[in-house]
Amino acid sequence: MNKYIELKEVKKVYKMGEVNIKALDGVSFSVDKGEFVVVVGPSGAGKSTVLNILGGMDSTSSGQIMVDGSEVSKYNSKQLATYRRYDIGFVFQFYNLVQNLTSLENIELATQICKDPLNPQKVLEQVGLKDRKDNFPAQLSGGEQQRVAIARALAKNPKLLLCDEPTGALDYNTGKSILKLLQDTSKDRGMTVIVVTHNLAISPMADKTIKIKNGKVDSIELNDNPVPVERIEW
Amino acid sequence: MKNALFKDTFREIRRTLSRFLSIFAIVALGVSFFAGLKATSPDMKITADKYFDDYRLMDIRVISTMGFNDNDINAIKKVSGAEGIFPSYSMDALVNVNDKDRVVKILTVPMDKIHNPDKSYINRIKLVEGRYPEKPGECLAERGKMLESSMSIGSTLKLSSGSDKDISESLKTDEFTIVGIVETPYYISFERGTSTIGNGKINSFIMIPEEDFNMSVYTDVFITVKEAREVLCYDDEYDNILDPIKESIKNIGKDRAKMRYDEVILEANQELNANKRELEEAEEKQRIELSDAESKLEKAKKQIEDGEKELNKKEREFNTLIKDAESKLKEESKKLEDGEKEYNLKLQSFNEMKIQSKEKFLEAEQKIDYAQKEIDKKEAEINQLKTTLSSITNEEEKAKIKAIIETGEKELSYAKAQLASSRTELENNKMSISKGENELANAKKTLIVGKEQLEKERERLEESKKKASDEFLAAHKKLDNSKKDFEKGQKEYEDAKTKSNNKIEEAHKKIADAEKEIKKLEKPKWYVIKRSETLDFIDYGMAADRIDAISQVFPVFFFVIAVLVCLTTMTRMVDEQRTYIGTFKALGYSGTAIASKYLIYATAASISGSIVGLLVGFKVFPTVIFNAYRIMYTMPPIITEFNVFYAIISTAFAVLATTLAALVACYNELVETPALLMRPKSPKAGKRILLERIKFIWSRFNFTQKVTARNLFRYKKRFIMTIVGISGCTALLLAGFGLKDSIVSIATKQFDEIYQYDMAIELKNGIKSGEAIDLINIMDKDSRISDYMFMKEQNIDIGKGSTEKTVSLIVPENIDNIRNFIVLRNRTTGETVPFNNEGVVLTEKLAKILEVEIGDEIYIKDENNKINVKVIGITENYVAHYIYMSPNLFESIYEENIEFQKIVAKTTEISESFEDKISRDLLKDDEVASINFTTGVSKNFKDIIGSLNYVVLVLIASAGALAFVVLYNLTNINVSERIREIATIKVLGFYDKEVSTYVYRENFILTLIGMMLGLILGTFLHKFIVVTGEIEYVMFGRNINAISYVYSSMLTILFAGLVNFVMYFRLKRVGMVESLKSVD
Repeated sequence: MNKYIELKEVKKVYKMGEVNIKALDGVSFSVDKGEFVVVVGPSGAGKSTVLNILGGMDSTSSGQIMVDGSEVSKYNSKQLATYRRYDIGFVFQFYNLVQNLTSLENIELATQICKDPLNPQKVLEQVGLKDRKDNFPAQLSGGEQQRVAIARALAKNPKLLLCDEPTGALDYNTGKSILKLLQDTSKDRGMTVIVVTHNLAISPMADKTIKIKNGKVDSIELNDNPVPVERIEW
Repeated sequence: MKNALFKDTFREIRRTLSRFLSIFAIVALGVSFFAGLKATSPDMKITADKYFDDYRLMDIRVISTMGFNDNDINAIKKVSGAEGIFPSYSMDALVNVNDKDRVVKILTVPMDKIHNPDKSYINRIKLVEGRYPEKPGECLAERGKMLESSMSIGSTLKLSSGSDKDISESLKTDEFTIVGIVETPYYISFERGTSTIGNGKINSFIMIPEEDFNMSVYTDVFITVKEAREVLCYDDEYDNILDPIKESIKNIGKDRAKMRYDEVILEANQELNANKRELEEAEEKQRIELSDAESKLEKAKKQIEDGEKELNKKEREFNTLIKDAESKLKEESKKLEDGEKEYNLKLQSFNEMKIQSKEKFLEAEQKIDYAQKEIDKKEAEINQLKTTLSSITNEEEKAKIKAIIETGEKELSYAKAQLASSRTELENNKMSISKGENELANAKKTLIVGKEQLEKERERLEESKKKASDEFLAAHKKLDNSKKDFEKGQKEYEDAKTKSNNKIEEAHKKIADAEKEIKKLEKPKWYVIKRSETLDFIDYGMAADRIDAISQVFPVFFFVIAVLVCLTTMTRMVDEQRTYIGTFKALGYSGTAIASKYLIYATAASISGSIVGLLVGFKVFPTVIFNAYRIMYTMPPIITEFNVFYAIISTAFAVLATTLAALVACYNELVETPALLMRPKSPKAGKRILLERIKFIWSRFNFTQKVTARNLFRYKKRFIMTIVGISGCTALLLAGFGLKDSIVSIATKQFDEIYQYDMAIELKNGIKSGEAIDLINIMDKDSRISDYMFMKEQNIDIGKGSTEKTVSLIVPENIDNIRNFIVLRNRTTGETVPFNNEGVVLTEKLAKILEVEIGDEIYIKDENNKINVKVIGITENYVAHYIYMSPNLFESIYEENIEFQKIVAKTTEISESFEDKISRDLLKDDEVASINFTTGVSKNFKDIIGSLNYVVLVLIASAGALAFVVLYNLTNINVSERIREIATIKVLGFYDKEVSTYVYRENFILTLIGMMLGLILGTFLHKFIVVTGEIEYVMFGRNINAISYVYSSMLTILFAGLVNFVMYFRLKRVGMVESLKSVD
């Protein structure tokens, strides 16, 4: 199988005044299509940076990123916007829903700019929020909000679903159910999902676990038999 | 305060410099505008006061109908409050510049005081260029219209009196060279007043040394008052100081008037008596002179007669003499003729005889010749015989022959003797003939001589005759001449006689007139004029008041908007810093300590903003506005004072508002627990808006419209703040433009729409209705005047209840005709206001001040009576207060016959040269006191408005600046409040443009709503400004032109667009990672 996503020696240096901070110091890995990947590592290891760069929200300082045969690392900001628009679905720790829009509308906000979106209503049903579609984010629990966020990302019908600590703000059970939703999405739809987390415990559920430490890939573990999330305890 | 907190505060300022600066800028703008504009009017007055004080502008000017003599001056000098007294001369004269007669005012320069000013040197002058006069015939001029045209330093002015008087009666010389250019506080505007000469408008002033005047009395007395300089002359206190002095001078004036009157009467009577005496003497002299002339003429006549007689006699004598001579001559000539005749006879006979003689002679000569020949033959025969004798020997023969010879010889000698005697006889005869010829010739000669003599004699006679006749002719001529001379003399005598008779008669009349005049002579009247009653002073004060009027409401509103925006910004800042507050609280800092950070922040921004605002505002606004006014006034640069009152007010207000906002916002946060604070503030819940319930509208919205609509109504605070800010700025802009419209409409409406007449003529004496004066004839004939009407204008006091006002009463000659000259109409409806004998018509502002409605009664004060009249109409009017009354009503109220002293007229043209000419022509009439043209007044007014426009421009520019800053700030707040949302939609793949439109759509709608509201608010604000701001004397226009709405809307949109353009880059820079990473 061709490597669907490939990072080669990706470096990211932030300039904070006169100090250069190396967030990524040559990260290389690849992800296959339909894989459920978990990126783990301690705080400040650079895992979010990897995700941001992969998601087209940030640029690399050097190195190459290939997504489905295109060199994303060479995109300008407009191309990156297009890339985000059509190819990426993003899920954040704090959901980042537009407070002023109902669940359904939040999804519509995303789908209205896509080429081939899924039906928002259906997606919302799929994440189990059929009854909550006319509710505003403030009226939803954290888990529900995160489901809406995932629905929003999915509805775009992206090539890649990127999740940054999706369970970070959720309680244990809710977190678990969110993770399950993500795992199911990957399995059922063949969606390539990359989840960034500091929780090493969930790595068994992944097809591939990438450990990042100090801006470098510490290890990449392949897991031929991922465990359903229900069976993982932490 | 703890050091760390302190540090943190200042780092906060550095970090959020743009916010700090925006508060700073808004406060600075607000404060500078408020304080600057408010301080302008006081600054203008202070500047004027300083200028007047420095140049010792008179506090009181006294003029008199008879001028002032030394006694008058001495009397004034006794006034206790007077500090300096400066009696001076002034007069009007004409000067011809570029073939145009211009009227100049001639003022006095006290030469001795220029270089050593003392307290009696009043109305000092400022030498701008050149030097002071040093000798007579030098003058100072102003940089006015006259100078601009062609006159400059070194030019010579030739003055003429402009009346039938000779200018030398008032001036010692009539030619002046300009040596310097001056300014004087006596004239600060460019109006120089009116005159009775030339075109009636004083063009410019010149100043000449006192010594060059040739006047017996002073025309003006300028007085400064003790302690008057220590107060501001535009304050009431100034008038309070002046009033008692004015009063005492007035009293002196009354006393002096009486004395002066007596003096003048005495003088006049003395002069009259002297004149009478002179006249008598003159009459006597005339008598003597005439009789002398008469006797002289008589003598001459006699002489001529004598001469004539003698001449005749001489002529006669001469004629006899000539006659004798002529007869004698005739005799002679007769004699001569006789002699000639005789001579001719003699000559004839002689000639006949001569012819005979000649024949005889010829005969005799032939005889003689024959005899001679005979002789000769005989001789020859003899000789032959002799010869033969010789040859003949024969004696006989010989003897015979001899005998023969002898006989022959005898015969021969006889013949010869005979011949000789015939010859002698012939000779004698011939001789007697020639003798006769000689005698005849002699006689002829004698005759010729006689003739010549006669001729000579005749010539001589002719000559003497001619000579004599010439002489006689000359004598006759001479005689004729002397006759003519005599006649001439006689005529001359007659003429002289009538002339001197006339003269004497005239003198008689003059004396009679003088007697009449003395009888008519009124007591001199003194006019005591305070500085605050002079035109320029009032005019300038009004200009300053107008600025004050404008700054009543406008800057306050401006300031309120500015402060409101600061308040929002500060609140927003505290809101943003929620987590931070929680952290500090968690660390155990007290609420006060935490709040102090924001207080310091707010105070630092507002105080520094206030300081900069005050420094700039107090300098810039008064200067800019005053400089606009300096186009109209000759004034030194403005003195900008630090106006403590407005400084404190504005600073206090700005600082309090911002810090209080910070404090209140802090308090709201501080009441919550640290834990709650540290957690992200639960975002404001989305809510369904009212619009959603109206399904049929909501369902028509597309997604983005729904989002926009919901966003708009969700953040109510932001919504309101933005709308208030924008509408405030739009309102300010609209009020600014509207103010301009209102001010402009004063002039255009008053002088173009309400006053239909072009020219106003003031008469010297009132004329009764129907009374005929020359002027009417002149005006009727003048084709340049298309229509005219007499009217009465007089200041009266009217009132209602406790309010009383001095207004101009206008009584037209004809109640229908007035509408051709002054439009009486309702301002709002445009309907014609009725005008009849039932009551009076008031002008709008006046009615408002008196709180009078149509149908109400007001009273008119006549001396001490109050007469009630009904108000039948209220008419549109912008400048001054008028009350219109019909002539019938006037006569019944005042119980006197009306007299008109003003004529309003329409002219066919309104060009300056046309007006100049017509005014010049009409001023020749003695009845005319002054002439004014509405074009001139309206031009003057338009000038004032021109500078007000400038002021309004400053307002508009400031409002524009505020609009920009406010919009920028609000948009900025809007963006930073929504930064997460913006980052989110960016992550979702919205392009930059889409992101901007997402934000701008709301901004645009907010701007639009704000603008609409602003237009409504502005309309009210404008009305409010106009009503509170306008000065008592003037009514501003109440309307705003449509174009002003357009301008203010366009400007608002322009600023909004500009702000959005700037914001576009800010939105572009919003980093997704940073914005979403943490929860602030």
